[in-house]
Amino acid sequence: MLLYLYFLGLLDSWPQPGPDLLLAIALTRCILISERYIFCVSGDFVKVYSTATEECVHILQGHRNLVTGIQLNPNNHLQLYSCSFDGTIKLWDYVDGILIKTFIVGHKLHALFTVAHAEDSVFVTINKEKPDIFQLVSVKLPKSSSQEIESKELSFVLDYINQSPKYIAFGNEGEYVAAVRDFSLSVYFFKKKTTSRFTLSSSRNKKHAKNNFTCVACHPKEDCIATGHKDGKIRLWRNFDDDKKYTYTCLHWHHDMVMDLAFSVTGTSLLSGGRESVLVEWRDAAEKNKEFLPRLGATIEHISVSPAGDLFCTSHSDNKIIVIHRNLEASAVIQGLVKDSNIFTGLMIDPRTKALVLNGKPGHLQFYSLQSDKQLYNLDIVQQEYINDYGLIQIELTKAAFGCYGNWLATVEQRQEKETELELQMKLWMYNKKTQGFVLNTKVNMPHEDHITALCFCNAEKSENPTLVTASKDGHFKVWILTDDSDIYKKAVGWTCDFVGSYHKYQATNCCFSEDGSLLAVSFEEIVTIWDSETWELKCTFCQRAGKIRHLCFGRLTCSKYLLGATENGILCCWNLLSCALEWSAKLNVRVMEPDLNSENIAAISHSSMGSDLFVFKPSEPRPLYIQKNISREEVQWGVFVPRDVPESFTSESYRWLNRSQFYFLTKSQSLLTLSTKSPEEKLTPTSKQLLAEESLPTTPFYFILGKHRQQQDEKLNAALENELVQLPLTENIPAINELLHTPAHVLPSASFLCSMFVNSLLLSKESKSAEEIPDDVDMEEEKESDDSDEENDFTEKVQDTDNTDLGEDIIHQLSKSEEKELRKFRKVDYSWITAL
Amino acid sequence: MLAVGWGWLTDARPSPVASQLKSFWFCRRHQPHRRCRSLRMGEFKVHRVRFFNYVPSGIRCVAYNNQSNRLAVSRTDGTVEIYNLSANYFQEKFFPGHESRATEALCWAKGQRLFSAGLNGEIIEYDLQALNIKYAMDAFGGPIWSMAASPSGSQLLAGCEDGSVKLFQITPDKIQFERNFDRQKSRILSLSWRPSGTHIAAGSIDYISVFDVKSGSAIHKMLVDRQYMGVSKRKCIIWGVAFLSDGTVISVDSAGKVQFWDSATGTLVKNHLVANADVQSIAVSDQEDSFVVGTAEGTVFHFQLVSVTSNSSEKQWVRTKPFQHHTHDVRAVAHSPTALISGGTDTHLVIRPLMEKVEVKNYDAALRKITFPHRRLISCSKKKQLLLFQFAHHLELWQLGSTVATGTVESMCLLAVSPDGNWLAASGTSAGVHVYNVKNLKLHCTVPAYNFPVTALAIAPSTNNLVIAHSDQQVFEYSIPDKQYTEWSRTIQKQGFHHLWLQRDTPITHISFHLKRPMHILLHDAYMFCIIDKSLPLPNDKTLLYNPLPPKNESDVIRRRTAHAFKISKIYKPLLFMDLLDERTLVAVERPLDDIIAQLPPPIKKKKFGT
Repeated sequence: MLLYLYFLGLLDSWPQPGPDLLLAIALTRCILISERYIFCVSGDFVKVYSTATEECVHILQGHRNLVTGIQLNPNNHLQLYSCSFDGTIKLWDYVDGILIKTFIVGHKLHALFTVAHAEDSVFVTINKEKPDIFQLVSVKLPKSSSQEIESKELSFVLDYINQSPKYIAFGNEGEYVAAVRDFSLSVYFFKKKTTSRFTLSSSRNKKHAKNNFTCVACHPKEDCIATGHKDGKIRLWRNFDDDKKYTYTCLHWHHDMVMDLAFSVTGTSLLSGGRESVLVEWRDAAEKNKEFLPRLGATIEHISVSPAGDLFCTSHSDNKIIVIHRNLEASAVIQGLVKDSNIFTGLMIDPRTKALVLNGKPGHLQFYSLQSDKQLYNLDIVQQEYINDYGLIQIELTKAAFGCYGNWLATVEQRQEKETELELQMKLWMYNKKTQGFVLNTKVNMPHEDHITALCFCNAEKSENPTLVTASKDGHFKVWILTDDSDIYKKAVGWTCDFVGSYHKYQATNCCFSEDGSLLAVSFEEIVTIWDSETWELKCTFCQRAGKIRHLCFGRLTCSKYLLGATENGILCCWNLLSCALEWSAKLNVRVMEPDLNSENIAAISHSSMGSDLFVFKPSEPRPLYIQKNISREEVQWGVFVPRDVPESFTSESYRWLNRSQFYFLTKSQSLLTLSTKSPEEKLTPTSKQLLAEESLPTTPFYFILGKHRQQQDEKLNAALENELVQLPLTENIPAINELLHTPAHVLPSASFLCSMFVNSLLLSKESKSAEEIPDDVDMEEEKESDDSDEENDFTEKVQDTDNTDLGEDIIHQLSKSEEKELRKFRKVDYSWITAL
Repeated sequence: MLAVGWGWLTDARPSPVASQLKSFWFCRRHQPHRRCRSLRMGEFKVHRVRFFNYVPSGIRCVAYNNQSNRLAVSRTDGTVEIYNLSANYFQEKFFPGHESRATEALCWAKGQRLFSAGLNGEIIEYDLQALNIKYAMDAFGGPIWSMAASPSGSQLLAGCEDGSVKLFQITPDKIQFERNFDRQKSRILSLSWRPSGTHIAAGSIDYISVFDVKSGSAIHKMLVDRQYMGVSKRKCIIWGVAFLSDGTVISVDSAGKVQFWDSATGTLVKNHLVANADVQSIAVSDQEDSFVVGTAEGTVFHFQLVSVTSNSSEKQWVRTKPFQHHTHDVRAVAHSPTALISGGTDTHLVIRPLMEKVEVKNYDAALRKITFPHRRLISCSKKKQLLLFQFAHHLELWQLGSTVATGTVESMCLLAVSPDGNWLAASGTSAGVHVYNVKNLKLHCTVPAYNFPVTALAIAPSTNNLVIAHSDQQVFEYSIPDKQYTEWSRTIQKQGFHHLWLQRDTPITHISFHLKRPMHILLHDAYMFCIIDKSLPLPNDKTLLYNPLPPKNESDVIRRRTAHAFKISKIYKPLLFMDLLDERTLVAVERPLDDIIAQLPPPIKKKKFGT
């Protein structure tokens, strides 16, 4: 089976590795608006949205690395140039989503600029020798009928510039170019071939502490350069062709860094934006004459103006694009998954909409539709004006849980300024069918004396009374029930505390209801206590002395007699509730443990220095159903099973667990990933649209890394390898053997069991070939998910990069026959291990 | 007894000396300001006087004369001061004012002639040689609000309360009424000549009139919008107009607008809203490539004529830099070729150089803020230990030397008598210092002339050496008996003063001597007090001029090695007067700026971000 990891999100980007990480984030997010379309750079692709319908119309794919710049062709407004780290400039017909031409420049391109009068050349930023020295060069684009053209004719324009496109602007129809960096503005005049340089006093003097330039824009008609600064000032420079007589005007409204500037088409107004989330329009460059579009939600990162001047467009740090009319009215919002804040609540599924629910904007819960890659709904939990300032300690939404089929939502928010001053609030929201939204029902101030560590509803079908349990560091767990709160004015219901439990003053760390709601498990540091939910009686305790319990969950369906606990010391325990004894335990450093609501399966993600590994198992059996090694290099923070609308029918044992649910997980850098059986190119627009011939088609990075070598290889080997590409790294002998040796003896099944499994596995090697046909079946079903086509394969590429280093060309090229035999032998061994486990 | 006074003799009214002196002694006995300070030259008891309740009056008008590079400043109390911008911005002349003569307009005409007009309806010409009022002439139009001299300098316009604009011919010794222009409905608050002399613009309330000079008739009436940010204000007062040679009229008004009008068609061309309060003053440079406006919020805005694109001849006026050097209304601005000059209610005169016009970046190109007069307002009687304060309208005058017949036509500015009463030194406005023998009332000698005006002079008690301080911070010592500069003076001139000494921006206003230590000269300006010890070596540019007070543990060797002739103390700021009462007692009169600001009317409240 082929498994691919998808990255979800609208303006997602992989930060460029290296020292200038901060710049790279700003760099790769680049937007452009034309009359009918919005273009936004998204990893290796350029996404084209319609300004009218807000729908993604096309995804321009073809670059093999991050796209860094896009510009409309000044001579043909139906064409788009894009440049990328892969060293190419591509010309697209964006209306049909067709690649027209590829110009191979060779250098890593950091930014792209076009100028109307220079028909056959564009300007790009390249990195010469040192890592942070960038040059602006003009590239001659030769006229040729061929698809791929080498254009190595570079002529140097400016040195020592900033790589981000915000720091460079062309003015007055390309008569000059202005570039800013740190404290200086350089203006290069193309006709005179001279550079003027203006420097502001730097931070030594306290009065000018934040004079750094942050962005630049040029007036379209006049010799006027607008620069934004770190202290929020905008300077309008004039007379800059004279080193002495130059002069500037200051416009000051922003209190923090000016993130981007743009002139309107006629130059009569200047748009600026920053962290205040307010778009400011300065008319006639006068300080007193300004208009505002406030409350845009998040920091404005980029501003773009359409060539006809009737539309503006802003991109925001919370993964959002807003289309704004000339009269400063927001006309459309394209909102992706908000990536702005820390995720405290974890990933949840709203039982009604099947939307993914997690922290969104500060103090909000976002409901995000995974199917359409769109934000559905934003619930303001904190309900307080968010003051956007550094160093302020904000109220944070820390916990949330859905109960009773989505009828109830419990949230916990906290704010802690000092050690002793904890502000804690629990809110219970009821779903209102009329308004189709959550309405605040009960607000509990200080539900506990200390931080709330866990929150869970009793979701049993038979339970007539909704019940909520909170566990806290203050050593108590509290049971809250819904009671009648009617008075003479109205009929109402409200939540009250029903029971307070504790165990030897230990901190309560987790709580969990069994599937039928009859039992409640609460972990107190190292000890798990089981309570009867009818009488709130302590039934029994489990203590394994293997570290504090980090995760706790009951088994479901046929496995409901098992309770699973993962400890901080890296032990996964499974207790049998009937015998009150430890059923099995395994050494696994579990970071995420998530039960699947539709099956018995439980997914656990472990983390080591090598990366994160995924294990799927049933509580009844101590061997995993499925192992996926190295799903992410970084730590996985949260995971969730998302029920499928229409169940799949995988027959293969190893991925039968994906039949009814899909597993999504979130890494520390807030990339949301999932496992799928389809390759990225299959999910994206049909390649037949492209003009290029099939053989020269640069299909995917995946193809480039592995596909080409394969063709040169022995056909047989090729065929054998191709379907096991992704599995190969997993089945590599050394970790497998290690695992066999390292698995504690008491976890291992009996030798007879292992032996029979081992023998079976030898036979299974043929079965695996039949399994290769399955992806074809899978494709049919996965078509339904083609809405997700704007998802990206950044991650795929990364993973494959590592694959390449692991088993890369050297190995494949130099395989001798004996080695090949050995490899096969190993493979057989590994395979047997996988199925045996 | 040491006595120094001012030479002019007008408006001398006796003041309640006795009561003041009593109050001083009261203070002294209770010693509220008494401190002991160690200067390196020895220990002194210091009377730190802070009860000199001096408040300078606000600046009302500023007029810049390009020919002589002088600046005339009139204050709300009618005082007119003349600053010499070439002589280190020294206030070289001074006409005391009177409440009845509040000036509303000030202008230079015919080269060096200075006219003022005020609400008493009179046009006054000042005699810059004799430092008195030449004549005052009633314009018979009620209070005069504005005045403008023609570009040729031969004619003078006065805008009056009754709406009339009166044209005067300037004759060599008087002015003569010529004719009235078309009378307007309301007072004429501002006037400007077209540089060609053919038209004038007159700002009134709610409108601007353009007159043809030949016919005297109004050819255009340009109505100014009363609206201010959508709110209708009662009236829009045109505080200032400027007529450019291309026919553009620039107006500033009480709604905070700077507007550009085409005088040929009488239409509004461009509008800049610069302030939420009144824009009160405007001044255009001679090249007409930049102008400056002052607002009631204390901000001064600079406007520049810049080309739209580098390769086109089209130019536009652009507001460039704001300067916030004032806290109160900027009532008057002037535009010299190299600097923007502004003054207002907060009494500061601010001279802000234009860096792009300055050829060399030296100390002259620094921002100047002149607050205190460049003369001494305090005298002190050593024997009786008395202090004498001089205010604008109650002025004490020491009658010494008033009977001396002077040999020059110009008036004397500074006088100094020798303690033994034999000699009198007098300095006029033009640099030269004359020494008279008091006994036989004859001119004894004349100190060689020097380019810069004298700011202070004094005669040493025992040696009869005359010490002279000039506005360029040079100090000379001249021996009266020998009729030549002393050896020490020659040495210091040869070696030159320390560069930091020359960079001080306030003049020395007082010189005195220590009775027991003939080698010491005591002098001070507004920011430092200095004892020059002639016996010690002179500092060169490498040595530290402003040495801090020596730490106690410093060895004598180091102290001797680093010692030089200038012992400077900057403890007292702003220092208006300092003198020795006796050998061991100093008196210092300070006037903290905060105390002055506290007595000014409150400024326009502005919202400050983050408050």
